[in-house]
Amino acid sequence: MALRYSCPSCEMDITVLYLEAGRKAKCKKCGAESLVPPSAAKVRAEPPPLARPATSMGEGHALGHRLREIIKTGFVKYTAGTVALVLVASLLMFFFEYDNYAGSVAGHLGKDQSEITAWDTFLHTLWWSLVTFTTVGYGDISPASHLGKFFGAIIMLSSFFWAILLSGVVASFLVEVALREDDTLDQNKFKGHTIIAGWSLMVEDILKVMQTEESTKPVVIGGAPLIILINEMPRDEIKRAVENFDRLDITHISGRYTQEAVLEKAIVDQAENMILVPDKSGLAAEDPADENVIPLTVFAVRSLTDNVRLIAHIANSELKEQLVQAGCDEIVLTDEHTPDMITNHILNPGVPQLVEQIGAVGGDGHRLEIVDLPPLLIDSTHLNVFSYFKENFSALLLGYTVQASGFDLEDEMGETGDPIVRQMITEQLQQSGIKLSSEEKMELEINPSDDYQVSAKNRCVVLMNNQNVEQA
Amino acid sequence: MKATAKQIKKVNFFSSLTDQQCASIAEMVEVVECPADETLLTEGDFGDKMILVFRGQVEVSKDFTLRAKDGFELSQKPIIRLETTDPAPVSGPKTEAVVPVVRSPAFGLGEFSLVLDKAIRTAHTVTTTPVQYGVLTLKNFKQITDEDPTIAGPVYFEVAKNAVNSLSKASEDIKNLTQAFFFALLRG
Repeated sequence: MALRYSCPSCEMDITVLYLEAGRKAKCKKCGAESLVPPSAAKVRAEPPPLARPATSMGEGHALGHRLREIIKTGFVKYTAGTVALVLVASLLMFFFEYDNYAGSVAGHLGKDQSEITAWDTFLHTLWWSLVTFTTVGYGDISPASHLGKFFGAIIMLSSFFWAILLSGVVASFLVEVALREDDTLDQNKFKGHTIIAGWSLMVEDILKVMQTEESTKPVVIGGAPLIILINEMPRDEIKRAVENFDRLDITHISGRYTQEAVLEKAIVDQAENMILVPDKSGLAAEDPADENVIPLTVFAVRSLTDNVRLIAHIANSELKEQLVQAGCDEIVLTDEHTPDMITNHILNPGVPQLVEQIGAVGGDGHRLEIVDLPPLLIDSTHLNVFSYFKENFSALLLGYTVQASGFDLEDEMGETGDPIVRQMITEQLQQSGIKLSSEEKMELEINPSDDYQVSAKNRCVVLMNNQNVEQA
Repeated sequence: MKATAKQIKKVNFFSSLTDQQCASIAEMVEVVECPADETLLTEGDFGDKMILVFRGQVEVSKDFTLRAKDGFELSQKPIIRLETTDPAPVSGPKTEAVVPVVRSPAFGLGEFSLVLDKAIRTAHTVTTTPVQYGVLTLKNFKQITDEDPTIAGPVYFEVAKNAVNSLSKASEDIKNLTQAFFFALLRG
């Protein structure tokens, strides 16, 4: 969490980390110091860019990669700065304290001062510089003149701060690497998993429904649904939140789901479903989550894979079109059906109660199920399938979900028109990174006519009595 | 050198005419010879001359604006090669064909010139072997049809047939391009 407020002098936005209201902060633009006001807005703290894991690379590549990461963290920059400061310090002593240092080195070497070269003296100043910078301070030599002591004092103070900075960079890099390596997931284990990206109270509810759904099935050892949570919640809080979901195999990845590296870490290309919810992690309870990043994330996921089914939960209906264009498969709008439900309480009393009852997963009594069409009934009529469910399971067949074929541009064009024009179209689209076919889409066929022909692409939407679910 | 009635009859536009009628056309057609790599027609130009190729091979190509690394570029794409079979070209083509080669005893190019005095050339035509061809102008053709109006019917029927085929292909191209355009808009 960070705090943001406007600089009283230049009105530039100041964002401060690790500071509370009432503490002093300095404006980067005008340099003015000001107190962080209690009214400062709480904003998400931008985490430092995380290094990618090197697990998929060869050893040689991994080493090179690690070195690049170290360079990126500023380690080399600070080291070079240290060397430069040590050199500058020794040169200052060399020029302002030459006689003093020449005399000292003569004593150390057991020679007469006239035999001491400039090189001997420079090495001695360099020695003093290093001993001072590392705060070892042997005390074998020290500046004697006022000017030498003055520069010596500056060097001592700057070395103190510099050492703190350098150790901070090294420590943060090591912590970052340790965190990242802990997060590396087993590619062989995570296949067909579900990713829940973002954190809100809704996530716990989703997990509850999933857990309830699982509780209706027999326990399969090692067969618990694999779920990966991506959010910036503290690990211990997530641990507490998910400890009761013992029928779900939940893994937590700390990071922002907008980052490609985090998506890759969640092995999104092998996932079956990905649920995107507005991310409240890292925000105060009263702060709204930024939903605008969801379409961007859908774009990012689609650039990695077309295989995962993307389900986005949003409150802002204006994002719906962007999500569809980005390649989101299903969109759930908060309160989308509330007006219908309220109105139906007046116009069609009983309907909202019915919807509530059959729409709930794992509820008592009746509920909706999607079940495969029995193989014997493929190519049969709706009336036959209807009778089958009614007679065998006392279940009501309401309709079907149909896997409609996606649109394939090459199939659509067929052999029509000039082959050169067709070839040009496909080449140009492919070069622009546009796929020539769209994925299969699910369509609903509700209460079709009795002679409606069902095929292998149909799955049945059945109103089941919970007691008969197992049999079906 | 003038063309012969036999040469004229080999061109599909005139194949249903009588020998006498072909002879009267041949009298108006001067035969020219040219080497490979000669441009016979340029896309976008206007002309009133139909080219009758009696011997040799030509490549027909069109200009397309295509996406390049840094923006767009105009690119000339070959579409088809046409080659005579009676007689066959004196030598093989200078460059290998990357498009289908359609063979016929002889063939005509720019037949819309027999309809309009400023017919637009819809493609580039470049010779790929030495070519022997004749030129029939709209003015000369009108003169022949004025003298013998029965020539016009069969010839214009063939021209119309070609025009209808081209139109239907163009309409399919437009459909494909429109489809691709909306597809790209949706997916891009």
